[in-house]
Amino acid sequence: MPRMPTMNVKQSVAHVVMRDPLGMHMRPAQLFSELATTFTSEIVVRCDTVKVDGKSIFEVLALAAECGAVITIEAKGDDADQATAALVELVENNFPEPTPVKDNKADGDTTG
Amino acid sequence: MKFADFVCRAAVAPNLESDDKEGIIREMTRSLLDAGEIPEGEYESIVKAILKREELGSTGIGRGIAVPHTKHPSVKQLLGTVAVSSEGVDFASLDGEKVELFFLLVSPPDRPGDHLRALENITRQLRDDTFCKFLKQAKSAEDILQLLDEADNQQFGS
Repeated sequence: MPRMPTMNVKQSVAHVVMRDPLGMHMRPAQLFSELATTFTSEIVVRCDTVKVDGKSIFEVLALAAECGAVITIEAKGDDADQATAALVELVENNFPEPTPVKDNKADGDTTG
Repeated sequence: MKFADFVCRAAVAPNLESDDKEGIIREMTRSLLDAGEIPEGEYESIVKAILKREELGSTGIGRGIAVPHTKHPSVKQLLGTVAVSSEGVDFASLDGEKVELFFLLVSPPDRPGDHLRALENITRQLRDDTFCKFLKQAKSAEDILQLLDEADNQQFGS
């Protein structure tokens, strides 16, 4: 029977305030879950009493995190520190769009 | 928030005919117009706003589900409708799968919280595979409305 590895799993926890005036609506949830998916760590996000998988847009939307809400990001795995740092940065910078692929970037007239 | 709080019952459509994104959005917005929920003169403007939102990134969020939406000043309260395409439509979804189940939302610009809670309700309920499967198989508006009512009454696990 193989011996179970005994090394410690890296963990990282961070808190961040939602600044988007519309809260964690669809576009931020998509950007959040897509970024979370780039890490191998397990990522759990909490807001109030709701706890979800940060890699699923369905789950992140179910947070219904409004502007001003504090969300807690917990990562567990080899890249836990990098994951929480990157996700906190995304939220703090108010979900900047990735490098635009269009000339006529949509204006603020959408609910995302 | 429950489905009953934002789904316009008269606008629910079980058999979408369109086979592309714009057609689906037009058909669903038309159903809100036919139900008397939006003014005729605003139809085109609402369709264009929803299509513009899609340019930012598809609202096809995977699992055969899309939630096209926009804010629009012509509505006084959050309006939603539900529609099913039995064939499925290419919606440029995040997971690349065709979309069979659509929730379209039009919300007043000054009520972001309502929009957020509607998204929360939709995604929370649709995490339940049974609910999702039954909705996609719905053959009549009555089927859809009954499923939404059952979900509102917490008859699906979530």
